[in-house]
Amino acid sequence: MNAPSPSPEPHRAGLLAGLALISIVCAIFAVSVGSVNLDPVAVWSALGGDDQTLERRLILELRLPRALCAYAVGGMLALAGALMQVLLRNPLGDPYVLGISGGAAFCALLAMLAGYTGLWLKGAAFLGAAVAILLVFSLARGAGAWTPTRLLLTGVVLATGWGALISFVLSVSPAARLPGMFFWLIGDLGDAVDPEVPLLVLGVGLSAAMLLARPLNILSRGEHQAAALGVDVAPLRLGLFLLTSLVTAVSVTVGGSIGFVGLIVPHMFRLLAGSDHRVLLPGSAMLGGSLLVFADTLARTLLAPQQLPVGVLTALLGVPVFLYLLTRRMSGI
Amino acid sequence: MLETRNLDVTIGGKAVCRGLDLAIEAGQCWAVLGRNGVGKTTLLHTLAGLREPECGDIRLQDKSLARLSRRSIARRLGVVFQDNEDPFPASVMETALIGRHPHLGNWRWERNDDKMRAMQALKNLRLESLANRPVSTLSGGERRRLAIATLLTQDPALGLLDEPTNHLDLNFQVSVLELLKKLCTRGQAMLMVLHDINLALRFCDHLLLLLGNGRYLLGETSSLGSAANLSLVYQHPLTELSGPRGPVMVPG
Repeated sequence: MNAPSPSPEPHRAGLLAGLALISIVCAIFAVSVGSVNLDPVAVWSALGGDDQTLERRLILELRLPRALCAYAVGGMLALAGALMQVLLRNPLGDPYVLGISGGAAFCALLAMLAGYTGLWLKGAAFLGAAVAILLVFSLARGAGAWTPTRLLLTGVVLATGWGALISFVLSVSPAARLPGMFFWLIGDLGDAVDPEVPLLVLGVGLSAAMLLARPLNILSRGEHQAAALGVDVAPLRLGLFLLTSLVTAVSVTVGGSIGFVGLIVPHMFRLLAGSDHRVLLPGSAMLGGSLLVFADTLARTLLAPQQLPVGVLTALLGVPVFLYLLTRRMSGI
Repeated sequence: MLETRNLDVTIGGKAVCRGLDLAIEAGQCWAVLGRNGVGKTTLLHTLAGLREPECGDIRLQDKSLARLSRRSIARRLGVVFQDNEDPFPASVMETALIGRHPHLGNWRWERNDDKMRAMQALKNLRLESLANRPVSTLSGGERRRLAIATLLTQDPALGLLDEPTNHLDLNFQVSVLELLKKLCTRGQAMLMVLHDINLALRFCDHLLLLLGNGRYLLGETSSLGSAANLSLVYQHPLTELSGPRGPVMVPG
């Protein structure tokens, strides 16, 4: 067969190109807006000039790293959400449903209670996420089969348990520590300054997920159907669990438990371009990244100089969209 | 094509079959008949390699099923399941195209050739006008035909079908079975779980009768498809009448 190898259908390729463009527009918006507003021309000339102007430092040392962090976290959350929805074969799956963010939050809050900040705080969050992953993994596996229902139930129960522990820490913490804890729980990118690791994890995670994309299309139609079509279901599900967990753990370590991106962005993309994971995964990652950059820029500018936790804005933007999707689905479309 | 030797299948401590020696040859069309809960679906899953047998050996085209990868099994053997799940939106065409999965390399997108196969399969099941419809808008019978179209797109040497005529209207029951039988005359083989004895007698040249407690009868329809044997299967007396296309069984 010498037929040209078909590429993704044109409108899908166009959609991905459009999302790449939106990503860039959001980044320009993010570096332009703030305590000092710059127009795109000023951004361009500040970046072009090699002197250490205030604008250049503002962009390169403050706004751009934060925007890149936001993009990476948003992309990771959307990617993890899309993967979790297939793993659980449940459209309501999100990266936090198995309690990974709960474990991270509990340990992060303990670290805050003890007065740790910065890298120690992030280390504690990552450790908590890792503990939560191991716990849900070993308990859901148990002696029996590793079914989506069993995994989901185990995760939901563990998440509830983490929630109780979080409430406990909150109730014994001194009032002075509560605002910081509150920001962490809602999700905040205020001290996200090092984009290298999150961007790397997003890149590696997305590449790994793309390797699994067509098998994921088949898996989303049921395990028996997938096995009958030649998919090795057990290793695929294990890989999917580990990949989703790692990406979620890194994103909550950087930004706390930012809500709704992981749940709604994959659904938004499905409405735009269907459920083919070869398009859905990169598309959701770009859409999630752009959304979080946009939301974070609003979060630091709407009530400036006061900063809002970005999770407030993702939820405010996310709730109406999700309700809209839900009513559409219920009306049978 | 597919052979079992001394196959024991049990479910929940209950024997589905004991010492089953089944040999499905190219060109044959088999019906599996048995009472509700006797284990027809369990047997079908076992033959597809989706479930471990208690003991015994299953060979697919002279290779042990247990040693073949899922992918190489899927290139030779396809399954139509009793139910299909679709929690995420997908079009009819996309659904039929998943049948090409075992034949495509990991990075390969579906070629035009694959799409033409899927379209032909949809045409064979008279679904071509629904190609762009979301699966969630299909009726039960249309979904059933789509599952069979997906099997046709997969194009395996052996098809295992669990109640392919379920939800289908009378005309589609007949045309779907005619289509499957035509595939058999071209050298493919089919084994299907059916509920309608008369469709089985009319379209299938071989019968596997599961009698419960691990007992079974198998052989050519012409010798095995008697009222006495079928009464034994359903534990209900059947009477043979002569119809325009051969014998017809009625209860009582």
